[in-house]
Amino acid sequence: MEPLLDATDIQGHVFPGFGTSHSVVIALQLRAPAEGRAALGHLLPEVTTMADSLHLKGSRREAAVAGLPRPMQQIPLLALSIAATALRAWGHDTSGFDLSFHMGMRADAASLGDPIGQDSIPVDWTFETSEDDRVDVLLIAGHSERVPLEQAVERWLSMLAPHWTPVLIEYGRRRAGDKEFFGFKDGISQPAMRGVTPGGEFVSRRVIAAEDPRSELFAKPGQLLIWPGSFLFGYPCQTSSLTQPGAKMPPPVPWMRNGSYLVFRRLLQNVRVFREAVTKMEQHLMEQGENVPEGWVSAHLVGRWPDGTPLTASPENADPDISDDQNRINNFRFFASLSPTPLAGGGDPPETIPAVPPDPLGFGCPRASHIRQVNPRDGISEIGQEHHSGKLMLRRGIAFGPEEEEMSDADRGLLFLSYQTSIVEQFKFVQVNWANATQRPTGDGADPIIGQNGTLDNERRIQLFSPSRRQQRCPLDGRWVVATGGGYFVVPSIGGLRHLLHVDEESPS
Amino acid sequence: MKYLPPGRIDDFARSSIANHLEEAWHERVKEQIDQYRDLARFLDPLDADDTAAREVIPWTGFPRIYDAWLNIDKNPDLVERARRMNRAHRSAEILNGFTYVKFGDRFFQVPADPTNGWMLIPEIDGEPSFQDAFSLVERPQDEYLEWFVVRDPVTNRITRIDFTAEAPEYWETLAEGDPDLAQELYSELLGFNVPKEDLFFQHDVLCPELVRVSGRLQIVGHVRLTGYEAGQYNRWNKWNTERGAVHLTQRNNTLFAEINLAARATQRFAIRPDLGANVDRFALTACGGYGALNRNSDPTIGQSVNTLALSGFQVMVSNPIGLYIGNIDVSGFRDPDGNAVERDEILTVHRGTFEDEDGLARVLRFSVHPPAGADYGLESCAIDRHPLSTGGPVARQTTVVIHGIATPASGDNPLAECAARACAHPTKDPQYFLAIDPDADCPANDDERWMEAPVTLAPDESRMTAVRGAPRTSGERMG
Repeated sequence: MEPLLDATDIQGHVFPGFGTSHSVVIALQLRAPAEGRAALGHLLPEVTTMADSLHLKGSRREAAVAGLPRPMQQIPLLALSIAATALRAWGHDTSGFDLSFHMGMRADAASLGDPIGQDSIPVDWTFETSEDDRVDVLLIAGHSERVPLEQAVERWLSMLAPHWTPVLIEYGRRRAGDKEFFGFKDGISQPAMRGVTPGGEFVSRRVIAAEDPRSELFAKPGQLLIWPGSFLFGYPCQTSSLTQPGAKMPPPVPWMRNGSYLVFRRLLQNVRVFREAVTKMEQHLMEQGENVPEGWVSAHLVGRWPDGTPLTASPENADPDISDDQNRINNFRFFASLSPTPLAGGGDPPETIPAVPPDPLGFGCPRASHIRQVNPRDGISEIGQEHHSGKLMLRRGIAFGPEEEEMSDADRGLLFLSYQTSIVEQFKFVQVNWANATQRPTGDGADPIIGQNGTLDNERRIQLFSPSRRQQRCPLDGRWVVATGGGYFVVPSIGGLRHLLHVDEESPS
Repeated sequence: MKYLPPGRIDDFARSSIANHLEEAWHERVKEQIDQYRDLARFLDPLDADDTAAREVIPWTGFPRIYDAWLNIDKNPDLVERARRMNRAHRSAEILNGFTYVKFGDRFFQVPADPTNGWMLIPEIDGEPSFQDAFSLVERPQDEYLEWFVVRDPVTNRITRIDFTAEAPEYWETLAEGDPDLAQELYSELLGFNVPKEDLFFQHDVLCPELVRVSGRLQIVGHVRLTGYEAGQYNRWNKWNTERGAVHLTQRNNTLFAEINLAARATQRFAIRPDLGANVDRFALTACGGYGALNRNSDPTIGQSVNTLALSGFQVMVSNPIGLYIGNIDVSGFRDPDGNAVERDEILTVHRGTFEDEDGLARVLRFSVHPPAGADYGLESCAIDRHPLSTGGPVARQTTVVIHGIATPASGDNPLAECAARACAHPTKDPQYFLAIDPDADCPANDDERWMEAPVTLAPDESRMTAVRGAPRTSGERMG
């Protein structure tokens, strides 16, 4: 039995996310603790619940099925999260919380691979560098249209002034084809949270025929079902047996039940530097006598073709039959093959999606590629494949910055946002132990997209099989993803926020 | 081409008989390699050229068996998990005393026990000298990474934790070829003068011979233990066990175990991956009958090698064959004030390198220590909140690797039957396994085979009751 999720209490950005065309992230600094707390409480009625978000998602799907345009929203969606500094300002002891949350992201910056200056401040950070630009609260909001979103931001800021001042206001949007600035479709591979709504429906739709044993493991083919304790406090944890629920994830304090931790990183993407590194790697391979098709290198650094087609499923080229099919775009493993998967839906014979061969050695999808480094699926790692699923996070990335010519150094990139119940064991583990490490989860090099080693030149090498299937070690120097700041936050439930912000006397049970 | 010393370490060059030592090591490895040449997917690493594919096979250096038995993932509560991990760290530093016994026509390594005479007996002047009965000790750290906590004898502060992945067989070759060089290296690595005679057995060694009488084991005599004659190197000498760590000691932590495991894992076994997300590395290990089931290392090595072999490659570990430290992450280190410290100030690599001539990591030995001039010991520092009063927190952040090498294969790889199957303990998380006969049923949840701890455990600190003052019998009551 999957647990009943408290959909009217859990914040809707944690799950299922906003999925809006326009988004904004607002980092705020607390100026007056008591007055600021009261002012923030006034935003509480506007915070979006999981039930609201699920409803909106459902109506979008209905419109899509009917061939109608995405419905326009009436009101903005809002998520509210709070840093340890604010909790301490309000008299809370944060030492029993996740260690990274308690210490703050700046204390973790060196571990995360951000270059650190002589004053111990990350050299690229533009906020959260000192008390002057400290971030105490993060608001994330979304709307189908930009103008009403701007109006809402203006209204919220005036409600919060002068007790809160903005440190960062960053608007973002869904780009064409959901592509990030390097040109790859993003946000494809999300874990599917287990659990049911009060109406008895799974919160993650299941599409595999019930008689196939994979229906116990996956929502869509290849999309692993994860027990909600990985993302929400008070629910069963993920275990190595996958199908069996673990013990309930205990909240660090009672008001964090139905809550989560949020990681925010503002990541610049320097498209010019990335393209130059790709060109250099192409040249290196050609000097080794390789015939390198256009787009081959960048796709092999990512692990997918730009349209999202996984290299494991289609090693030679992008395949719209795969990338346009939500049931195929994630249907691959690295270690073991997948036989044809029958889908639910009552067809006779049932509709079936094709088999996918394995790729343990990385002939198709290099072991060092981004998607294998941050999610080894069933492949090899130093911690053992049975523990991989416990590292997954709910990611809510938002593209920001101008649409300019390819080679400019524009200030643009991705607002990385992830939800998890352990920053240390999930976000930080994946960034430090896998993305930044040259010997883990495999020994073929650091993550070519987000891996960094704390230096400004970020010199590294990756090993991969070339188009002629010879193993090549290639230089891959430069920094094309640069963190300019960020933070760790708690994301209490509606009830938790009510308690925390003293909105009424009632405390959560 | 010769089989090189692990990590291309150049100890032999310091000897007046360098060529002899190089040859002796080459022959010793070759003798092992030759045993596996009949396996269809086995590759002699000397036959591989630059076009061979390489695969780094990584695992975590802290013994998985403690985490499994102590159920560290069972309770997600951070405090409880930290408490169990701390107990695992303390447990992993309890030395195992052992001896050998002969039973039937085989020798067994068993826990030493003076009360029933299960001890080793030196033969002095042609006679067993029972009054000099002794046992050997090994560290229980079984992921091919072992460590020793060095304390200042005056202040008792921890001045250093030494970590090693060096093979005992290499040191045996070196010490038996050039005992003076062995003494020199021991003294350099440990930082004080080690008496040469301590490194070698001074007398031939006898062990008890057992028979079963009325269901009970009885000693019927003592027999000579081959390989433990006077003058032979004692890999469990006190300077490598109770007083320091120069190379690996745990019974399974040997280079030739690694060769054996990698070679046997090249076979095609009669086991199929399930439809689920996992191709179970433990099930494969049990089926293959190689390695220890509850380690992180052996199942990972076996699965990696097996995948390469099933993907159409001849596979082995590349020359120089060795167990290596591939990565050490001390970014979570905090000094007593909670401040991070530069990696170079607290971490020293003594043997091997992270960037060998072929670009691969081949570190053999490193230490973690306080920065030069610090007025504190490691016991007041922490890694990821775990106190460095033990080496466990560092071992958790250490990745041990072997370097696989593969060339395209042709021909059939015959199917090998499963030797056993893995049964998972009903409640442990991470999972704890028993290997049983492939056709037998797994033990019931209340079976006694699940009850006995496979390792010696340190006391559970939460069960130690604090009392106000000392008991009456041993002193005055404190106010």
